[in-house]
Amino acid sequence: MSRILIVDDEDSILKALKRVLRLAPCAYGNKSYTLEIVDFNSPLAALEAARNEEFDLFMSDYRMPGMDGIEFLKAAKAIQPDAARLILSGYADLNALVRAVNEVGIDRFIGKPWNDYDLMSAIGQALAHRDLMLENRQLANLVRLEMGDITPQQVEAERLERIEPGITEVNWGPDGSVVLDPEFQSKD
Amino acid sequence: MTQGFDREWQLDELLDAASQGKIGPALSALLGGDFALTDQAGKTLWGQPSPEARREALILELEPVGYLLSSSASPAALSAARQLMLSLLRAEVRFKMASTLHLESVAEDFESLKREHARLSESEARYKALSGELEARVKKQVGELEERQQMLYEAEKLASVGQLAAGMAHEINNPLGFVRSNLTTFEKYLGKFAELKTHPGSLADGWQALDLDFILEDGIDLLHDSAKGMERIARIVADLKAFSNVDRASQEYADLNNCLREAVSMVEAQMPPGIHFRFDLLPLPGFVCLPGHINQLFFNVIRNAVLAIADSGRPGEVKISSEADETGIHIRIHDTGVGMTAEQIGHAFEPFYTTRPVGSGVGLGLATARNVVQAHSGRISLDSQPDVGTTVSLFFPTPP
Repeated sequence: MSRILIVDDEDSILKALKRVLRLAPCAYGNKSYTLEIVDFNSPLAALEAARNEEFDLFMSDYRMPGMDGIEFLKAAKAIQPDAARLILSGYADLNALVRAVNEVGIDRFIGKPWNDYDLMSAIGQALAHRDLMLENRQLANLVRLEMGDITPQQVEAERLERIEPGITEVNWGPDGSVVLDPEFQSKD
Repeated sequence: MTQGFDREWQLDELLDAASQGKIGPALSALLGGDFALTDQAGKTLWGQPSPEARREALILELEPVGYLLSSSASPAALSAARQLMLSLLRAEVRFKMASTLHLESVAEDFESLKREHARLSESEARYKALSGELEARVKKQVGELEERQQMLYEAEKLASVGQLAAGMAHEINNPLGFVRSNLTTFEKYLGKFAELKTHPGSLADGWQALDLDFILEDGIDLLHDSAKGMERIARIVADLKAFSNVDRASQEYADLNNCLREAVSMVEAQMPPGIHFRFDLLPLPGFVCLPGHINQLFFNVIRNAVLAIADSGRPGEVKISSEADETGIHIRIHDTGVGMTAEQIGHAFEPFYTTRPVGSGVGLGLATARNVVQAHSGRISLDSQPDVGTTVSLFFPTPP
């Protein structure tokens, strides 16, 4: 079961997407993914969820009040860098597209109105690509471990870093303290 | 007049035939009848000069102008006659000089006048040519300016069409997206119902196994959603049509006060509680307009006023006033709603600019309003303060 987070400011879109993705599994090659959909109509609420739960894929609208899709996906990438990222939008200028590719590194841009089959295969492809990447990394680490290029501690540190980005680095404050979360630092 | 007044005078010029006739007998009497007069070249003017006669030169300045000849007269008489001749000739020279000078200066004046006149007429011609050229240039530049203005207007129109298309793409693609997807899903739902026919076991078992309770419920919900989406697209198209004045109605006389009342009654039908209207309508002259478009304009502006009050969350009042003066009709629509920031006012007339959430407005209201006002050569302006209210002022010029 792959967990997918969808953000769109329009509830009708979310409902239509859930109907499509609930009915049929997304397939790519010989792999087939059944999906668990979590949907939000506000990017801020979605980000909050992304901080607490793990997702395999983020799919976002581009034009939303409060925060646009690119900002959202950028923030989501910082929290869960291994998740795949898609944009589903009816309108984007070239500038937005450039930002989406350069700043976020989206896997796919899907236009509205979308074709259900295209949407499902795009999701399947993105998930398969993600699986392949993770597998690759794991195998590469195994080989490095066997060759003695890397210690088990390093492998574990890398795994922890993936789960909680930044956890293997100590963030020193100016007064010698250890800063756990810069967001709560007093601004002066 | 080829010779100047101060030239050397010839004797025959000084003594013409008439004065010779007067002087000749007098001299002849003085010198005893025997006398002759020649000029400096020896040409005889009077008498018969004999070769052995005595000559007295008549010298006015340096050179002799002529000779007085006599063979019988005494030298004293000849000398006296010469003196007499000289004084006569000098008087004559002076007279000639004066009259020639006078003539010359008059002629000079006349010449210079003529020259002046020629110069004047020349410069006049030049100015005429210049002014003609200038007029042509001004005309050309005015033409160019008008052309540029037209181009600018076209460019602006194109830009607003582009903006329109971009906004429209987003507004229409959203409902189009979910409607299309829903219909595909619905096809699959119907497939599930078809499966029921071939499903082994009782109908109720099959119903249960295929989860048709959910399919039915969701199918109805899906159709409902799709219908709403279609309505949204239809509304956008209708707004666009009004915006672009596609269906142009014919012009007619209308009382704008009536139009205002009609628009208010349309808004009142869907008005939240806590809002009331106050009218301050003075009699207006008939106005030639497109009443359908004017109604749309008033409807848009009054609906905005009502929504602004609803957004503020407190009871409020929409005050509508109209009056006419000799230049035209003034209409003011004032609300006590949320008001607008300076930035919002700047964008207010842009098509597809809206402060409202998706689905509740496409942002064509004021853009349409401005188009209608401009089509009637009128003016529309906004005056607003956040949390205080907004006043929309409209002006329609009436022909004098």
